Amino acid sequence: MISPPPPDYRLLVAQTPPAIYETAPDFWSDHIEWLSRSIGQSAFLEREQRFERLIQDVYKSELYKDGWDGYGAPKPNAASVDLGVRLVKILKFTELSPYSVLPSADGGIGISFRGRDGRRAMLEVLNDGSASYMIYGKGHPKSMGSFDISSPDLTPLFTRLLESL
Amino acid sequence: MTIRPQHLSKAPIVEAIISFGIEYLQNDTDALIDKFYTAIETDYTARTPIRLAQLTFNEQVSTGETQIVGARFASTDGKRVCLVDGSNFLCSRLAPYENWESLKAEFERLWNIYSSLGELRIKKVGVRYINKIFLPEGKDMSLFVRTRPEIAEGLPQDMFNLFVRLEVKIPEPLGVVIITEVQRPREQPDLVTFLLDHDLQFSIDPELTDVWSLLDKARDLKNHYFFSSLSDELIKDYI
Repeated sequence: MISPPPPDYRLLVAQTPPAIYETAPDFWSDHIEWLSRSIGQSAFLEREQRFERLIQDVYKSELYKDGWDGYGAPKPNAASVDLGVRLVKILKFTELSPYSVLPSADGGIGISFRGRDGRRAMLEVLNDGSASYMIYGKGHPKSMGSFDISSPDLTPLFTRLLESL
Repeated sequence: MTIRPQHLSKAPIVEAIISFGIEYLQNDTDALIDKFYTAIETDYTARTPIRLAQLTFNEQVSTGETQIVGARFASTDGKRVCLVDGSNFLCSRLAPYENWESLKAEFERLWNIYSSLGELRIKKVGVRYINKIFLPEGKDMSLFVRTRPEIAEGLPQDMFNLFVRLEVKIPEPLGVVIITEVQRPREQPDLVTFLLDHDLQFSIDPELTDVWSLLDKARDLKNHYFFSSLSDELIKDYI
């Protein structure tokens, strides 16, 4: 029978003694090397891995403390982290590839994009649940606005980002 | 298998890859990759470096260094990708998959450009298909997937994560198929996301092997393996 994982399963797995490591010391390094090569040759798996990392980066943002930037920026709260994860998961099924995930100076999560010739874009989900975008870059037109992350179709926003990057 | 291999209108293929394992008979691979990019840049606009990370750990210290070992070129829509490094030349088609003929034609076109730029020898031929399928949650996996782990009677049966990798010899033409099965995070309610990855590889003698007909044979085999791997009930969803 195949089922979805229970919520805390990664913790359970992490706490399992690495018995196989003790009996076969090369097991992990051999498999990591193979996995790395196998993933690296697949554009699909490489993208899957990149989005996994971005989601982890969103979760890590919650570890920041208030004032983390030296200018009193609030730390991302649980609501913006949840929205950030949701947004990254939505982005995975678009043609966009975020460059990085970082806390926002306005309190929340920022997802950045890099394009050709210095073109840049940023999506932000803030602690109060609001969301905004900004398209910018030296020598390129700047535009910004808000969007509703609960909207059933964010395609127009994503198309605009794609065309601008 | 009662459903014969056929074109699936809703094929679950998320990536199809044709590859050559190559040996360079000259050293300046960086210059070759640069020349190649110049030749394909109008179709493959994005270039990203492939980095190799080497990490060393011991009880006192950990050190790491990275070096660029190749490049990945992607079309504007990101659906076509070509990767070149010190030992591989490969082309991918990401979803939506079109057909074998167009994938092979594009691979051949790019290979003809690349191989005209330097002295290369083909050592290996590969065909790899990664499929994303959705299995009903809470049902016996054996009803849908025919290569799978089996948990002995007497053990709990409720499996919530799996990673399977098998290396199996292909008798004719002599090669290997690496079967990888991975459960992925849920994408649809009541369905378990599952990747089925078949990577067929054949070592060749470049003097004796017609690599293009070997690719066609590999394609027939991968079709046969795919249709043999899943139940008819599941395959019907993709026809």
